Amino acid sequence: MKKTILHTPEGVRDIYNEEIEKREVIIKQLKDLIKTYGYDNIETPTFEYMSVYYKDITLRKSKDLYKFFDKDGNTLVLRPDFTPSIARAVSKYFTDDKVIRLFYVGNVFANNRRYQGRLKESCQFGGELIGEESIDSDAEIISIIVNALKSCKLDDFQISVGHADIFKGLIDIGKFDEDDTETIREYMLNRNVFGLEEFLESNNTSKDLIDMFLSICKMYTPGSDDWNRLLDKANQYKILSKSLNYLNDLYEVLRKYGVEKYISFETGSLSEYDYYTGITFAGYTYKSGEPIVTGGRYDNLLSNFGNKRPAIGFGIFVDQLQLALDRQNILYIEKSNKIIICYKSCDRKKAINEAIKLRKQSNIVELILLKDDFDKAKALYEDENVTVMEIK
Amino acid sequence: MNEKYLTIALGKGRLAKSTMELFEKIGITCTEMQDKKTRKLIFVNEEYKLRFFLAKGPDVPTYVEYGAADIGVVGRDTILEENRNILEVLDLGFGKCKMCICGPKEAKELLKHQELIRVATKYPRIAKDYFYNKKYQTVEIIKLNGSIELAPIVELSDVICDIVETGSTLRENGLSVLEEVCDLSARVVVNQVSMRMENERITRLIYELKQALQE
Repeated sequence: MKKTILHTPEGVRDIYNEEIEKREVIIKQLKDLIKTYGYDNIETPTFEYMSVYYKDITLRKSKDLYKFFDKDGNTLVLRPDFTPSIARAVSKYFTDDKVIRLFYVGNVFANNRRYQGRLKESCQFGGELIGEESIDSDAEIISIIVNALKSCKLDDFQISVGHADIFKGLIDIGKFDEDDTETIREYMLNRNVFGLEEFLESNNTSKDLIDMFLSICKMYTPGSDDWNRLLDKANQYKILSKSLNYLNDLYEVLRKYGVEKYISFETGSLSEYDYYTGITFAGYTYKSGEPIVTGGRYDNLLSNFGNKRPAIGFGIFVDQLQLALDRQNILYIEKSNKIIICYKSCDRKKAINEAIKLRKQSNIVELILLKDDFDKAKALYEDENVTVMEIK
Repeated sequence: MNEKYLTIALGKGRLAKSTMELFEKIGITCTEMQDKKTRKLIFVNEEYKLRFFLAKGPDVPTYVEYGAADIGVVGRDTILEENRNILEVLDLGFGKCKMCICGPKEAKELLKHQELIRVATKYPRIAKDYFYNKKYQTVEIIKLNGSIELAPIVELSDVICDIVETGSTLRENGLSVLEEVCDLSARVVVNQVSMRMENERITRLIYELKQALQE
């Protein structure tokens, strides 16, 4: 046999045995949980027209997409993300004024060269709440995330919440031009507060505003003295103060959900994409070098499909979550017991009848047609969860 | 919370030495590391719950991106070239030098027009980004692994894109700096998850390092 045909391409892989069992458990927990909030399942195609993902929607670089052509010459793309597909589907099928709650699970594809040694096909689970622009819907999404992660027995995690208008507010105060905004953005994305401070000083920014920038770049425990001081300081700036107070109000709603202990504010957070219009968030835990969940409010996305409706959504990176659960030794799958019935072809009828009987009693039964003697088969298959028996 | 170790990856060589001196200034020492004969790969400071390890410069951003190290110290040239998803939080100021386009004086003319030229470099990504996105000049990039200065001399390339510290190697070989690409120095990088999960400890550490730098 040619050995080369045994390989899978870089970035994709087989998932089997215990790993797939664990994944199924995780996905079941997530599904069961989100269903209790009234979310319905949706499945969208694995590939779609490129314009769904790429027309000013995500600014995702075109080279990161897996592209191919159909027979008419249209460019098709393997989905890099579910949200635009769902926005398209909703604009097409859900045209009345009802609030829409949907969840999805499936694989997404990233043709990203930088991801060396990293998955190009990965599993995502997410939810979208469409048609409501309120603090209540923001809180609902965050509480779903917290409870979904908890349903997987994860406890040591943190959801950092920010707001897209905070950065806009800061830029608005300083009246920075495009180039300076880009530099500031770069420093803030890198959490390089000292670099930011030097840049602002060299740019003759007022001491007050520099101080504001530096305070924004910290992380906050909601309700703490530090946080309240920040609210006071921001009071003089309209947009900034509005978005910070929004976070504060959001926290109050989250307390009603009882999920506040997992929340921190990351006021200086920025998304790589201009996609979000309101709150943004990301979830982190130990032993996974990347976020396990991200999301936010995207009130303008649906208008790209001619259906202007507010929306908020999240996506859990199932592979990252599973990795973290594994490394934190949380996920434990109890192996189910199995009965193996060995038989020779002359005893076929007896063996099948026995299997039917045992399966009716909810046993897992595997039939093995004996090629040689029973003892060999017993030695091959038997372990602590497997009972091997012979029908004669 | 405090029983977890913070892992710090240091780029081997001068950089690691200067970094450890800086850590000593803020009271963090690692005596194990000073033993030249040791074959240990990882060094522990029990008092502050820190672990240090030495890695090849270009590998430091990789360790940090995957969270195998929470913090890394590495040159900005490596950060730009590796282009990993990491947070570049602090400029340590040492190891200062510049990334430059160098070549014989006559080559200056080649940089003024948008004609196709050949550039030899150890940093293909940085060179490509500079020519394509800043100068809008199409170039052919030749990746070399050392003695880049040789390339224009033996006419392998028209110019080179390389780190310039004092410029003496260039001068001795009849080359000069034609254009500056960017400033370089040692930087502290942090894993994005560690920055959130261990925010207090990491922020404090970075703040102390910054204080020590200003002394």
